[in-house]
Amino acid sequence: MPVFQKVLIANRGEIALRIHRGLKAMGLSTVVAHHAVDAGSPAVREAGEAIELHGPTPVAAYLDIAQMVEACRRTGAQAVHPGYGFLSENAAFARALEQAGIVFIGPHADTIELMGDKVRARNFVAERGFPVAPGAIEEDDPATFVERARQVGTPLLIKPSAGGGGKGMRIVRDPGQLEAEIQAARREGERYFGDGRLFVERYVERPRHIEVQVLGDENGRVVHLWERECSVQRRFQKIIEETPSPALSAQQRRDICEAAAGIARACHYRGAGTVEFIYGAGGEFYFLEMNTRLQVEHPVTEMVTGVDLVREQVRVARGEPLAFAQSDIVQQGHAIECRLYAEDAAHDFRPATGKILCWRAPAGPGVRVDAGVREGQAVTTAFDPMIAKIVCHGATRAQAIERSVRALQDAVLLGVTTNARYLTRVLRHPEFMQGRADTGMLARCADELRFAPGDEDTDLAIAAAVLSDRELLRAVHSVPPMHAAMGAWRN
Amino acid sequence: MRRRYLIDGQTHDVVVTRGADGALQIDRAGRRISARAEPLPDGRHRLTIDGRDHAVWIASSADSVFVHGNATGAAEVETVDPAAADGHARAGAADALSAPMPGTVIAVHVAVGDAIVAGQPLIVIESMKLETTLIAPRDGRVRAVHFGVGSSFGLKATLVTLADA
Amino acid sequence: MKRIESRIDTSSEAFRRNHAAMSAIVARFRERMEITRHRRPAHEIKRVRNQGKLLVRERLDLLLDPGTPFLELSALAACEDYDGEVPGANVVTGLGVVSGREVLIHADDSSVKGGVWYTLTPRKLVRMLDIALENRLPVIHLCDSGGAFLEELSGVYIEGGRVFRNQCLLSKAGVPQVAMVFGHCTAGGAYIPALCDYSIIVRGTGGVFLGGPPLVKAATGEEHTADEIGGCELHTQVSGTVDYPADSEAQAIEICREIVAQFKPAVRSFLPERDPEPPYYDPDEIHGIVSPDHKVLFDQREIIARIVDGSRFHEYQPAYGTTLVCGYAYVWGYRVGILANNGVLFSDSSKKAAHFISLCNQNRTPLLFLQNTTGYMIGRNYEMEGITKDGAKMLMAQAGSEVPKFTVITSAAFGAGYYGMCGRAWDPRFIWAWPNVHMGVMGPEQAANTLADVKIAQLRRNGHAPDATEMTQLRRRVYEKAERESNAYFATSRLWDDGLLAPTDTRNALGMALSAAAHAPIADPHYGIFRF
Repeated sequence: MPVFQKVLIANRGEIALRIHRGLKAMGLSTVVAHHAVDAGSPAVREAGEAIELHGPTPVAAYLDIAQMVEACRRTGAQAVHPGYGFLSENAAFARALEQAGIVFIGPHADTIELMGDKVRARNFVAERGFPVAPGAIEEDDPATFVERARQVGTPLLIKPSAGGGGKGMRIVRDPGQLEAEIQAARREGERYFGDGRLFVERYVERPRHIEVQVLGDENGRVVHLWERECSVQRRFQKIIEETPSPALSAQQRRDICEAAAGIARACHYRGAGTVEFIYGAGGEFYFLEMNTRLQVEHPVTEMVTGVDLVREQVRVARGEPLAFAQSDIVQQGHAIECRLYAEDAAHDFRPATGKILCWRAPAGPGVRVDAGVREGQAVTTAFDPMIAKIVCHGATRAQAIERSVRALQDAVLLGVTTNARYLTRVLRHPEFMQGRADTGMLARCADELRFAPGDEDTDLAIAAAVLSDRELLRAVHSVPPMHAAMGAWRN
Repeated sequence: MRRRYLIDGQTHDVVVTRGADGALQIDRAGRRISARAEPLPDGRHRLTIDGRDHAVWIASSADSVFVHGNATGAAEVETVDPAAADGHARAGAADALSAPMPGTVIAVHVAVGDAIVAGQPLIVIESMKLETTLIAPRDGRVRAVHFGVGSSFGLKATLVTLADA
Repeated sequence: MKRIESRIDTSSEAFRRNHAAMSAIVARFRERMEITRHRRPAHEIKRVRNQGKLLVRERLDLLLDPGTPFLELSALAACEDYDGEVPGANVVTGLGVVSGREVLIHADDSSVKGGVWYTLTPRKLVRMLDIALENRLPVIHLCDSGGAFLEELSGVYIEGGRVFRNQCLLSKAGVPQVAMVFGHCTAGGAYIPALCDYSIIVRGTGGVFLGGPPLVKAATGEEHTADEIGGCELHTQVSGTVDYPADSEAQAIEICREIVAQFKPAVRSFLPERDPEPPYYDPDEIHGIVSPDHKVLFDQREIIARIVDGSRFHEYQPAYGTTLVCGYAYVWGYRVGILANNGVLFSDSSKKAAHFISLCNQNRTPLLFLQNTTGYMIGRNYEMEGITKDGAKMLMAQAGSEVPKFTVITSAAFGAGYYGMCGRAWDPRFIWAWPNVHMGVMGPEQAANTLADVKIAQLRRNGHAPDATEMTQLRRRVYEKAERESNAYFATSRLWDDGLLAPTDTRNALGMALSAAAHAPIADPHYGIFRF
């Protein structure tokens, strides 16, 4: 059984802080590996130990496998928690750590590799009898790809085999456009991923994104921690996630969760992972992909199940068996996560930058805030624009929504424009309130979600600007009182 | 006094004058409010607008004020300099960039046709053992560079000519 | 201080009649002001726009602190001259607030004939600069004029020089001036920015030169564009004649506002002593009190009650010399000593005036003359009483006075009474007339009769005895001329006053004038010989 006392956190921001706190609660010591730009971040400040990474860009530093391994050596860290993003789904990193005798808190490298290849993963899942959308894979027989794609029928979705994050995806509704769209998708794939291979899938209309949290131990035992729905997306980027999904009946919920657990079992999944599905309006669901790491939105699962996923990741990594059976895991109440991004919703969501001048996290019953920022910190475009996750739990979905709205309104973040107001408008939109949101909702409802400040909002903002403008106040008060009292009188 | 603000891409022209009882009167587009502010012990401010109180967080950066009111969330109010907006740089933005002293060109950072932004280094000159970098006085395009590296020039010689972008 | 008990019956027939007539006079006045300020031919406005310029009123709006008053001076100058085609004599002058500082403003109005100078233009500017000198008020010049109107050269030549002389004296007195060059400053006009402490020029449209391109070509054969001879780059980079380049008029005005904010703080020789209080009685009632017929007398206490704070008035010598009301009151919190005619000036009222003027000088109280006079009493008995030497005492007291004086003509201003009640020649800091006013050496009727009698006598001497019709026609012609030349517009057109004032605007105008006058120190009074 691998034993470790000191864990290196190979990540930054809110997740580095969340992992640090989770590990600390277990009595472990931590080292936060960081680039100089994050030297003042809360994770680095709170951690007992920190080690600096170097790189041509800050992102490059966090992606440097050799440096991470060296950082473990130098600090004596015996395990690495990769968080999400960066090296979290990098099989080479998992292998490099293994070779160095360092525990990777995550699945086996082979599993990472399998699930990292969208085509292989799809085949793997299909072969074992789990549902995948009807489709065709180019490399199975490139010569017949277009014909096979045509047989799948429209609407269909063309995806780059090497892709992710929605880049290069194209929806085809007119069969006549199929070939042209394939050519265009290939060019995009080559441009984004240096790989022009494609596959097509039946496109599900009004698709909803439902994913299932799974947890497996070294002994091949797998449980699921129920589903999360992440249909509220903007350009394939999740912004609001919740559990339970309002889309599912109890039977559908059991079916989809058991399918996910089955897939995890089939690949001997170790640790925390997420199986993502596309869920159609008719109740059909298809395997999308499996993420072999902790998800950004894991807190909603933690809030309804009471399970600390980081703690379970560590326990599994130490070779301990799962501490609970499937029947022990019950969904209690409802949880919603809103991702607070540094972006300007009024200007086509362009990234916002600036210095955080004031940050007051919301608090209250059922409110959890995972953030990794502090006042005085500069928000740049060097990293992902997510500033914080505001997660609210309620006895019912309605209560969770109400608490989320309140928490977003109470979240004070000044100095950088955020999407807080946009998020509250989404939460209050009837489609979301009624649990009807699909992944196309934000694009479809863009006009309704556009912020139109009322006169009173504008009054308040302008009054604040005026009253904090010392130069303006000085100028106003320099007018002699009599003249001010006369006003703009003209003879 | 006048101010032009930008909120959520919307321009607001505002006239601020002294109101009654120490409050300020703020007029914009036919709307008039009376406003006053008072700091609260928790770091917030109490803004009183037409007799109604709002406890808000306020923070200022170089040209923006951020305000967080509980009912509205955060808003950014950008102050626009109307005089700067319709002209170029205040120091003068002639088309010809002339030598502040006689000297020699030691570096040229731009080529004819280059698009340039205000503040961008254009040419470095040396005079009396002192290096001076001449920067673009405004946005535009380089029409001509009149001296190459190593060339000498006299006082007020035109070094670079600019054109509109 | 007790409130004046008004005896006006606002429901009386006389009140209603006066009110209707005066309201019509004031409405006509406001209409003429509006036309003078804003009505311009479309092609002239288009021309200004095509030059990329703002209209003068737009410039003023940007320059003045918003929400502050602007007291325009002699707005109707030239309104009865040049066939009424040169509104305001092509220039706007006035008292306003810029960056919290009280300043005088000279703004050329180029929307008529390119803003060229007529004879009355420099006269208006000189008057404004005289006000600046007397009150130590900074001046802002907004220059945009085509220079002297070629057909008025001789008139402009002599009066124009005094503009520059006054600018020099202002600078010598330590009073700052700023010039913004929006258009051309040609010939003498070039000295306006050159004589200012600070100057700003707008790139492209601004130009400063002693000789413009045509003159230079004629004199030396050189051919240059206006920009080459005296544009922004030349004067801000080479000659140093102008201090700041600006890329737009708005930017020039912003720079100017910043400069004004750097002026040394104003030192005031007197301050408001009380919190201002609006008059207790409605100032609009003045319309019902004053008869449009200047021969109908009204009690000026009723006017005072509608101008001063709380309508409160401390009357001095209430029982003596009662045709002149004297006493203390407050206007916008400033203490003032008021002298107001309630009839013909007699020996007692003249001596009362001389005494009260001395008192106000002793206790540093600015003087307000509310003038409604047909002159000093004439006749043998009054001469025996010494009316002439008592009138002289009043003039002597006035000339020796050092406190600021302000004059408002409420109805009639005739004869030597106009002098005694601080007419133009007695250097009031500001002098205004209401639009119903008549003024002159004598009333139009007396003038017409006297003149007609002389003419008829002349005709008779020449053997032509005019018949009754002829005599009536002659009288009417002479009367009409005298009437026209005695009315307020004729006077204000020629800069006899600092503008006409609607009665209800009097209080604000006085408040601004008092505040402006406080910028100059008050010397100790000393007098010439009083004839006892």
